[in-house]
Amino acid sequence: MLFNSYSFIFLFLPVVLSGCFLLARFLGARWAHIWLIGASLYFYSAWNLSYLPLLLGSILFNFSIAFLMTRQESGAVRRVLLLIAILVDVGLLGYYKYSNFFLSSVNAAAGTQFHIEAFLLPLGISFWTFQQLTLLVDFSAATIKEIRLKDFILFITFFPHLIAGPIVHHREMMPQFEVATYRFDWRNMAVGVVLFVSGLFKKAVLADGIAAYVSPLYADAAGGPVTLFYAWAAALGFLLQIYFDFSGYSEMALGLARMVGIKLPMNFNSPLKATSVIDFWSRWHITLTRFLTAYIYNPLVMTITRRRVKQGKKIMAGPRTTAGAFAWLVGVPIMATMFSSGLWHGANWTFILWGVLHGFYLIVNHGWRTVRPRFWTNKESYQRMMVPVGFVLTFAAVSFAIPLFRAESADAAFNVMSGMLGLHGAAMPEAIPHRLPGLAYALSGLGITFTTQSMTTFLTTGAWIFALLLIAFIPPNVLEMMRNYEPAITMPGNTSQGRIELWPHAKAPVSWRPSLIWASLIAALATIDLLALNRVSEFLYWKF
Amino acid sequence: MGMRKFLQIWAAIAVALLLAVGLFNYMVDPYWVFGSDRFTGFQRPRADAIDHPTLAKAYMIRRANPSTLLMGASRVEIGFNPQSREWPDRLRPVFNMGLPGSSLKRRFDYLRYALSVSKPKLVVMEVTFEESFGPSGKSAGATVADNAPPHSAEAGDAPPTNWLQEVRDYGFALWSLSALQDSVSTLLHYPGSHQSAMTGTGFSTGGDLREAADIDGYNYVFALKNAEKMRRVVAWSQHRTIDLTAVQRIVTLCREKGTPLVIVVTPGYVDELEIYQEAGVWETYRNWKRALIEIVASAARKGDDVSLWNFSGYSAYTTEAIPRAQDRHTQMKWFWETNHFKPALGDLMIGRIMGKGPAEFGTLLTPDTGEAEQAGLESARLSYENTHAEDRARLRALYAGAAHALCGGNAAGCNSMNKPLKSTRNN
Repeated sequence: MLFNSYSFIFLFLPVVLSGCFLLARFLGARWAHIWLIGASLYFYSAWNLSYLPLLLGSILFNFSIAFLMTRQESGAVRRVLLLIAILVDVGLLGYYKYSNFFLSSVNAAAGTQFHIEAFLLPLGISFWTFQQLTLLVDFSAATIKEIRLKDFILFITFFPHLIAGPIVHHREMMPQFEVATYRFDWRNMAVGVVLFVSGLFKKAVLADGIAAYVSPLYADAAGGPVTLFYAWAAALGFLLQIYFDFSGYSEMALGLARMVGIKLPMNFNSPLKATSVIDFWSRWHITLTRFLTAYIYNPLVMTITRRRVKQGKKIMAGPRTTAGAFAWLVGVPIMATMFSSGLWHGANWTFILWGVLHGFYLIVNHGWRTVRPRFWTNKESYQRMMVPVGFVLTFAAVSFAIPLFRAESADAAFNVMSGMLGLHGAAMPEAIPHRLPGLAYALSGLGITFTTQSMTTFLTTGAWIFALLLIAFIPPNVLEMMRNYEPAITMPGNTSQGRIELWPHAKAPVSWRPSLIWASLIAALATIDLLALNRVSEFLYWKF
Repeated sequence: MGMRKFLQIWAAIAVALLLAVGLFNYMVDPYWVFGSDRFTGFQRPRADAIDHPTLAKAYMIRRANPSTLLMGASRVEIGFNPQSREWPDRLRPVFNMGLPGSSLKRRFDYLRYALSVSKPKLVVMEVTFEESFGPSGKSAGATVADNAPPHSAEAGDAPPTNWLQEVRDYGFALWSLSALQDSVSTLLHYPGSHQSAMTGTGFSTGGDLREAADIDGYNYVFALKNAEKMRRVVAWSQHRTIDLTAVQRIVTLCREKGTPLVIVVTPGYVDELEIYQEAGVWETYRNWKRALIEIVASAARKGDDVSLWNFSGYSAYTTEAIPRAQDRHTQMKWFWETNHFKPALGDLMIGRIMGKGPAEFGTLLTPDTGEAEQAGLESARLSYENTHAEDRARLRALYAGAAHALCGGNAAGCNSMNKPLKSTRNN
């Protein structure tokens, strides 16, 4: 059951909300909480009932581990329990998500013929596995002393974030569950509706609109080299598709949770406006970045730093950082983190390569930040010059890497990426010079060749990309516009140690408020959303 | 404004907008689903119904109650005008149920449906060689709406046979972005524009073909279509299975309904036959016609009112000269491009079937006339090829290109002339 479906919007959601509000009003928050658990489990089983026992089994196992941990004074015992949980959880994830990938890689490398079983990947397994592990890590560190089963279950299964995130932290959710009334509230409902409608527009109209033009480009890439214009169309088209799709889905999740009075963390903050790759990763899939930073990057950095200090080796020292210190304290943790990120996204070498390429970008970015003060000391002039340059470089780098995320094979991805560099020449539909004879000579002079592909499709794809780029680059995002109504929560810094902050009151030129104009605009968006529901919609997250 | 009022106003406006959109789409009826032209008098051809033929015609046939039903693919939709003067009064009204890109199986589904909601006195159905390509290759008969939602006439899966499917179809025609866009586009469309549109009798005005001819020139468009056709036929020639199961089922269906059936082998431009020759499937093509004759003869022996007409060949109509490249002024009389004849030729075929029309165009194929027709065809082909060396060379070059793309340079390996028919299923 997708958020952008008739059955979800007209059946599931009204029933769930009505049940929640009525139970909260007449029987209390506890029963509404249980109702939401039931609804969430039903939501998950609507995908595939046979995997519901797996989800429930995983929850009960991890809760049992957590319960045992709360009864242990000894940190060593808690760490052993944590290790058992990691082995089981990661083992389960590895079996369902990575065993075929591993076996096929071994077969390809060693010429063996291990049998590869074809089975359906349990939906959202990466999300709910990692969320449980974050909880257990904090139990092991004794930063959490107590948890109730019903809170644990809803934390994992809450249907707005169950399938595609945001990846929530227990410090964000448990305090909310403690005090939630789940009663109907006009403000929560209004904010929730606006978030849901705008998120649905991004997904069902913008992302699904351009998707129809992106898929054929990657189908062609699987068959051979791709020329310059088509390669850039494939890259930009998919980048925009996944941005609007994923950020739209995240906003829908925020909206749905808010309808019952729960706030989820922000997941996207206009990443395509980033002026550096470091900035990009603080804006794109923020909750995953946060998770990887807290549980892979920071622990690695701390461990390596302690070891180097013990060995008397140099550590980070600003502009005077040595190459060795940089390599070990920045390079290695970044590569390990981004390798993990790539692997988390999917069981395919293309995802790993994508992660590694972004790791390389981050290393270059961090390296530049480290050495730059040596020869460019004026911060103001640097900002003036490098912000626009950084924006262009970042956008180009992110666009260059994205075919690895979409293509079904490394060959197909390389066909697109090499095409983006112009290695396969440039071509356009012959109908263009045919209809504009004056242009034909000039185009031929530039080395552009002509194909029998559709001119209409070529131009329409270009128009879609142009329009979506304008939307991505120029206006504030929805969360910025709703800043006065706390549409999301965000946690700066280390998630294990930082405190929860509500949305900071940033300045933005356009801000939402309950008014006739906004009611009309959101109503128009809602109408378009409903009209778009019957279109074919890609679900990008089934591999996660 | 408080949040409560905001939500109330938002809901009211959203509901009002949805109702307005639904009413607008109903009144304009961009896909001919509702027949609201009966109330509004708005009978302009619908440009966007052309892109949703399975949806449009599934509901149009319910209202049409035709005396003559035309079945086929785009050749029929574009080439046979239900308003043609060649149709005798006793066989009017005529409804054009041509479904572009439809397979023979889809044709059977829609004919069965049409005969369940109407009682025509005559069914005229086209069959082409490429529609009969079997399933293993890249069939030319893929449905046109492959990406549409399932379980609806819009999907082309099947015509509407249950209320849920009808609800989906009505819902799509009233409340979808496509319908809204297409309603606006319908209002902006003007007669004679360079955009194809579907008339109230299911006929396509062929505007986009006119545009291609006017802007790109006939020579360019023919070359484009020939290249596509050659690639398709060469790809199919690797396995060359023929499937006439659906034709047999259609003949049986018409017998059960007591409806006379005329099967028509519609003509492509002469290049079509030359492409079959170059691709090495000429014998297969001839055997295919023999198989069709046998299906019809067998049915006739059982007393069925079924006949088979053939209009493909090397006639003066199918060999009219193509204007030179860069000539955007000269108009062809009989063809838009290799695959599609103009309504003027369609009128001649209708006249011929109805007992009028030029005797040198078209043959009623029976076991008695079949072999003579084949001999005549062979003779005409040789004569044409002797006098059109340039055209032969042109198509030979096309074949080489297609074979190279498919067979990696082994053009000889691609050309399996005289290979027997792999399977002909006609029972």
